Amino acid sequence: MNAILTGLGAFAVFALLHMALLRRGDALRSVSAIFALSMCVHVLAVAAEALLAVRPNYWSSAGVYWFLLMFWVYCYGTAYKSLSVRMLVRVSQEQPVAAQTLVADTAEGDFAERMNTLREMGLAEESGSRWRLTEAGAASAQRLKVVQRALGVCGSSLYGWEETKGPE
Amino acid sequence: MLSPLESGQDPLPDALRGLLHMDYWPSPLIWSALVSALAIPLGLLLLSLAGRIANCGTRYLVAVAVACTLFAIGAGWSWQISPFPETYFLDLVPALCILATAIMLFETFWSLLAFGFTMNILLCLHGRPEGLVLGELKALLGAGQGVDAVMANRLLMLKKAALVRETPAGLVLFGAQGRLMALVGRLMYAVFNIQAGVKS
Repeated sequence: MNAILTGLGAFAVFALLHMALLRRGDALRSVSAIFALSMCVHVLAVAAEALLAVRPNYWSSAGVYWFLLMFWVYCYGTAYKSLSVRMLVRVSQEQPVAAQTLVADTAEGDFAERMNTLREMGLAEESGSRWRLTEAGAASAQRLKVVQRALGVCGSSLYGWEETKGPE
Repeated sequence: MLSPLESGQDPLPDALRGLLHMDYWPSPLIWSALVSALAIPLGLLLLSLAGRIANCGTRYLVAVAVACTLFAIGAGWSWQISPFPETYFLDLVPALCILATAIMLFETFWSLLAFGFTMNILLCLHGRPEGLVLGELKALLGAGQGVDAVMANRLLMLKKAALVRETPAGLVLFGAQGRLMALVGRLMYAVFNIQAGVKS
């Protein structure tokens, strides 16, 4: 039971630190920053458990910690990138909202945002009015295609794509 | 002055000694969870090789169902060989947590691979060294149906999940589940300090 409480405590520390860091700048939003923070908290929690527990067992606290952490990251990723969540929140803020307007606004805003993300990651570049992949972007896309082919994924970005022909 | 070793003292700090003596070996129940977790990517690979299920979402659900079945079998086996039933139940929570972690982790990668919007943009630009103007790129997204079709597809998902509905005046939240999920979305935006609404 103590191990489960250790896992819960470690997660609480991580969550508070992460929320504080998110309010200090966009540089700390990256996956690598989350990973580094989660590992630091994990190592400290395991050391504390090793010091305090009578019969410390790694998996008991680590299982709970990694689950809560993954749930947190899952929610973070969903809030940060999910188009559906963005649409749902927009409907809740402005209801009723016309479907055409919602689709057009999300397409415009999110498309521009993702292009910026690709540029900031050094995967795509804009020259004149044309966008092309950088060397790193082409290599990433190539790897991605190999994985998609191996797993039989078409990667159209559409859920059940045959059902959708355009804004309703 | 004598060193800790010469004076007979333990040179290791307590925390480090504790780390070295910690039990890192998984119990049978934790092993069941770890092996079941690995069954998810393996199941996805086998299902894609079999080629029987075209829908990526369904394929993931089948892989998860296989992993959960394996875990149930492993949990039964662990119960049979567990010398202390009380430790079995204490291990059950972390074991279930490990399996749930794996389900979320692989789902994140799988949805990025199958449904990721940014990935789709990246792949549309691939193999076009001359580049594309934004209009051409937008038209290529969503298997050539265009960026509006991708967004309409997401909206369709919200409607199918009974979270929003269309009225003559426009889209509104649908029932308690729609209001609840929108509230969860806004709460997540607040917790993670994300600007709500569509960025233009």
